[in-house]
Amino acid sequence: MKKLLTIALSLLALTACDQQPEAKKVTESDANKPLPEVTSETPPATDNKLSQRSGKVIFELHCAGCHDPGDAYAATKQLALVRGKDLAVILQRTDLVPDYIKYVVRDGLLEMPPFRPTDINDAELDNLATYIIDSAKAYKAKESK
Amino acid sequence: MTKPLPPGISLEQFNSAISEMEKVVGKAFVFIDDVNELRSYRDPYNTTNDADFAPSAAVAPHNVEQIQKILAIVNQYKIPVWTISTGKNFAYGGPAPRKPGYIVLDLKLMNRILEVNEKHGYAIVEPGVSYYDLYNYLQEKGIKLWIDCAAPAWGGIVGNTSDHGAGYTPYGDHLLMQCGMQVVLADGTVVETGMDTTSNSKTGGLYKYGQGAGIDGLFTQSNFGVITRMGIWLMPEPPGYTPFMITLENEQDLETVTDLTLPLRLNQVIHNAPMTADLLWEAAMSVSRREYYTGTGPMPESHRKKMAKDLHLGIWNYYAAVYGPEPMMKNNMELIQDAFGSIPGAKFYFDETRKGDPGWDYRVKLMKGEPNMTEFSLLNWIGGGGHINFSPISAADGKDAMKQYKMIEKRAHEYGFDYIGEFLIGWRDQHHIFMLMFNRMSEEEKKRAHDLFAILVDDAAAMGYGEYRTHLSFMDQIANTYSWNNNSLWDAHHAIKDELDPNGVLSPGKMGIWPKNLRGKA
Repeated sequence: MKKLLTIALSLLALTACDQQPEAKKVTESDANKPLPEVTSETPPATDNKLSQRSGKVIFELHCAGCHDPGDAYAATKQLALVRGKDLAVILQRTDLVPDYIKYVVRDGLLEMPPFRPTDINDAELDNLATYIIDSAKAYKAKESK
Repeated sequence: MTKPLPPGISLEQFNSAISEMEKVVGKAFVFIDDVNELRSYRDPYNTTNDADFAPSAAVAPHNVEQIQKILAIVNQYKIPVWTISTGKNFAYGGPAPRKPGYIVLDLKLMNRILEVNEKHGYAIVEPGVSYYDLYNYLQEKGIKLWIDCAAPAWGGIVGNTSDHGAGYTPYGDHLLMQCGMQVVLADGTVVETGMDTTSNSKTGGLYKYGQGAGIDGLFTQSNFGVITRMGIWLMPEPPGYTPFMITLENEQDLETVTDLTLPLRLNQVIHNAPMTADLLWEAAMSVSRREYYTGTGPMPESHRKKMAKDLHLGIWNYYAAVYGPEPMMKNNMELIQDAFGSIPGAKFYFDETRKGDPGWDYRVKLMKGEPNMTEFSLLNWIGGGGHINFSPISAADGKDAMKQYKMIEKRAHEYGFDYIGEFLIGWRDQHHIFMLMFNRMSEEEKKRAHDLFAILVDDAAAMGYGEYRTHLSFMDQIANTYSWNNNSLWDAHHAIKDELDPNGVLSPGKMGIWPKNLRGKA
């Protein structure tokens, strides 16, 4: 680490040097130097596996902030205004199909920006679409009782 | 549409670089499909065309070692990468790169919360950690620390702090609260700043400077390295919290309220950064423009007045808070009420008298670091979602606030847009955010918004005001307003850029800082 630091500082000193940058050999242990005083458990470095979060977890993390029912939720308010109250709350809508949900999530729609595959990967997007549709069915079943 | 490619790179070279990157991070974390994957990397709210900012690919590493290997590849091919963290920097470009063809270096999957120290009040996080993530973590573990989030809280600590973002608790000046960072330089060298450089350090999250030059700031709003972790101070949950709102009836009250605030702020009678939001900003939390006015151009005065009356809003609406033990809050609130009570027509509101109003409720959450997305209601104002922020800095001085407001309002109206804005008093400065809203489905409106923004930059510069942050489209124009002594500041930026990144691979053009191979060609 000391050696790397010397190299870094000499670079910062703006010495004239026109060489091609050459990646210094930094080992994983240098790069992930343990931190002092870890009072909460430090998680292990993530590996190259795709996360497999449930539709509910994804909805709560990425969608609920705008799509939950109520006046504090931007998308719910706007849908109520332009599409009517019955189509305002995503988790209560039975008119949506998985392909449409997935398209809107990846492409965005009017006020809504797109979500990247690093926000929600393809398998999680499937989970999300299923969760939305199942939740709406459950809501309608409860309503009609 | 033909596939955008990195500048000067053939399809064959591109494919070859992509295949090398796939070996580093795995195929599942390299994205090259323009339609099904890369459209999610665009800035949907831009004022020009998606094609102006269309990446050729995105690559998502999981750790520092993978970043080093990616940088080795792009240095070999001389392909520019555009670094993002959570990619939610909307109004300023979102996840999109400055120029078409760049490869987005997407750090969202580096999302570990590495350390939270409750006793000393700090956290160390990776770039992919969002405000929601850190908040949820603290809640789940019962850690009595607050975060300070951006208003739409899906953004993250590293991205917002390194773009000089601000929040709403007493820890709202994010870069001021940053302590220590780890950076990968273009050649793969890993540097830790501050105290973490000493062996067996226990003070990396506690003391910002260490011995020698403080270089953390070099890696913010710049392209000199890739920040891979950052320390951020967190405020201990206080024993009490009293948010308040003051509605103000007259346009000119902006001047009075700004001047009354400065001594209260400098002496820390008011603990957080007070916000003065205009009528439309606050109204947009509850209603859309079409509910009051369906004509074109800015909303007429008569409609504004009716809306203000219906929603119990002022022409200006002031929010701030005091924190601490009850006697201290009571003492400070008396000073505050004495000061602002002198403004004719000023009305104070507290939770007892305002709860349930979406505008109030989200400010109450923000001023105690509770993440939410309510501010996205602004996008409903005209519908269609387009927005871009014009963000000049001024003194926390009433005359400056009025001058900026009148200048921007006049220009906005001239171009057919509403003035929607807020002022945030930091310490001695004032951030003015003009939220330029337009329908992103209308090419004509986008162009008009773009032209308005460009003229505002020039007008503000002529009046002595510079912007603190900006959208991809205006980075060069604004960099040119920082022009004292023949642009010597930008010459210094460029000297550092050339030294640290001689192949110009890291985020070329970020904030108007270009590597030598692309300089003057933008």
